[in-house]
Amino acid sequence: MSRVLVAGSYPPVPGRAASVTLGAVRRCVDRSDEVTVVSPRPSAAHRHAPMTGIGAASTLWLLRRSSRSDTLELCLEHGVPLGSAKSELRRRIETKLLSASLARFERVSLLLGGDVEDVSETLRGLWRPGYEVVVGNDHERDLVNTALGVERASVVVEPVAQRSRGELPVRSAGDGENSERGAVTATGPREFEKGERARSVAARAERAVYQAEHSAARAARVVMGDRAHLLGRPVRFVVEPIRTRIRHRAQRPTT
Amino acid sequence: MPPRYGPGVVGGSEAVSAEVAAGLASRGWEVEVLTTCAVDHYTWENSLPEGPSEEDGLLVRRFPTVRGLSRVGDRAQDLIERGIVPSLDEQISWIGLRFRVPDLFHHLLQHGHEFDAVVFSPYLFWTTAVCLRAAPDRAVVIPCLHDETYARLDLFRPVLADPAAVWFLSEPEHDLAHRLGAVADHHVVTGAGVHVPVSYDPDGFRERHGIRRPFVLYAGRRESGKGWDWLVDAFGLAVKAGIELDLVTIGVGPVEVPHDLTGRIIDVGFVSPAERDNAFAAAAAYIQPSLMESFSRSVMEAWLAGTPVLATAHGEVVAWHCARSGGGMLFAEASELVEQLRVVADSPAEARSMAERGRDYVLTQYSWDAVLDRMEASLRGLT
Repeated sequence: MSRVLVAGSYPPVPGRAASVTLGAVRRCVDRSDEVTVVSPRPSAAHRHAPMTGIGAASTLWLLRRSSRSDTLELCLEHGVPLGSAKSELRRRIETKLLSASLARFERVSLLLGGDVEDVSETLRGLWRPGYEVVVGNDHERDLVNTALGVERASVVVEPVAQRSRGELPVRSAGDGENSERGAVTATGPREFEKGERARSVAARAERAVYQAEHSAARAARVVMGDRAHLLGRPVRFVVEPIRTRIRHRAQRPTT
Repeated sequence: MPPRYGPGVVGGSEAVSAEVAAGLASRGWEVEVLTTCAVDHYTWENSLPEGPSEEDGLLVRRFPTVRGLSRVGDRAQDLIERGIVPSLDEQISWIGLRFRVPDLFHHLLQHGHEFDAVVFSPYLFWTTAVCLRAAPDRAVVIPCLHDETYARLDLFRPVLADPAAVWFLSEPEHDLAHRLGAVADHHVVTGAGVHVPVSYDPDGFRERHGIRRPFVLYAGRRESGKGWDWLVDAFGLAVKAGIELDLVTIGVGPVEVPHDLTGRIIDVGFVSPAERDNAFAAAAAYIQPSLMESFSRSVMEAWLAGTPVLATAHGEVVAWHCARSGGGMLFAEASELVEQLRVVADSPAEARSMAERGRDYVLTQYSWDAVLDRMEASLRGLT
């Protein structure tokens, strides 16, 4: 039995990446491995944490230590763990830092959670000899082998679970009138728009709590309820009004 | 796999899940209940200890809820309340807003294969919509669907399409599911069973709660979504019209009595199942103003107690029950309810004969034996 860290999109996120991550977790469970799952947005995973660029490098570095995992299974998709960098220099720094985080694990599997073209850049930047690449079919194995130069022996084919019958196809922007409604991003919609300013004390407090929740893996930790803490300090005075609001909202569902 | 289980839990779908579990266990099935540590469906706080325990002869495993904050989820909730379906991306943020149960999801991944079937209910919660993906080939969903915006969220399409089987509680619910999208090939209208009380104590109920006048009853959650606020307003009109009936309510949720109705609306609060049955028997009529019903157990309990039902004509399921049984009257607006209350107050014999037809309907269609037969037949088709 080994300790495995599986990182990537996870249910309820639909689509290939979440299915691939779920498949990896199933294989770990079947092998009786001790598995910790981390996803880029709140999900069925044990944890959620930033999974793009430097944030991803930091998350994997910290979780390597806290989960004491010796194996990493990292699902690659558009934006995870490398997004569109602002500059080439930034891209190089992010890739170096991620590579350093990956190198701390004894075994690394890179799982293809998107089309080869979508993740080829990421795969090229992160793959090292000794790493395993998991693809969905023989065609992808050939592509990974010929286009990216990953040796065939390092490529494993694990068919992706069939798409759900009731699941909407995940659409990309510009794909018909429902494109906005069906498009799903790995990291989720922005909680705070760029440049959005908190003008009142209450707005600042709200923002502090929401943001603390989102950067949980980076040290700040907010837990709703009586044991609410932010950087180790009680934050009930901030949480209570929001909790009241949530309670008010929660009254609507009527099953 | 109900989201909440145990004493103190109020909710129709939770009651159905608990009774299905007990009923199947009584027929020799080995049943385990997987649920959360929460009791309160407003806060979803972990108020019961996590881990296994034995309750009423069943093994119950509770898993802690994890709650998060999301402005995107909040915004999605606002849209849904206004009848607008948010984007799928926003829906995903929304579903984790109330609670998540990662440990339950991973328990199912690990142990799902040990069960012949995993019964999920209702459709609306994380425990169904997300955990279904951990064991879809063994999943049986009792969706308890309502015709509401929540049911139109894309996130819930797989809940009806992907499980091994779907059990509906009524034909209108079944029709609604087909209108919403794909439904698993194996689906059946099982209904839900209602236990027949051995005896009732209506006089004792009146005496214990100091009720002197004839009354009509409202049972369940006192929430505007269940029609409570509408009922209070309509009852105010009945009082002004001089109808000599009080309104007694049992259940949970705040009851704010308008000044002019003080003494005419009596909140008995949360009561034991036996006292609930006594309340139904003591009432001159039971009022069901809720549109959001997938089965409406309380209507069945009223009929069993020999009490007629006054129900909103806009609620497809209860209207269907009333049409099939002849056990109730339907009102489309407040003035019609006032007239029906007058009939109940002035002609109790007529009301009672209506209730008898309702009682026959429940005994024929919704005895637990008949319902469990249908559920077992469906389960045998899976195993």
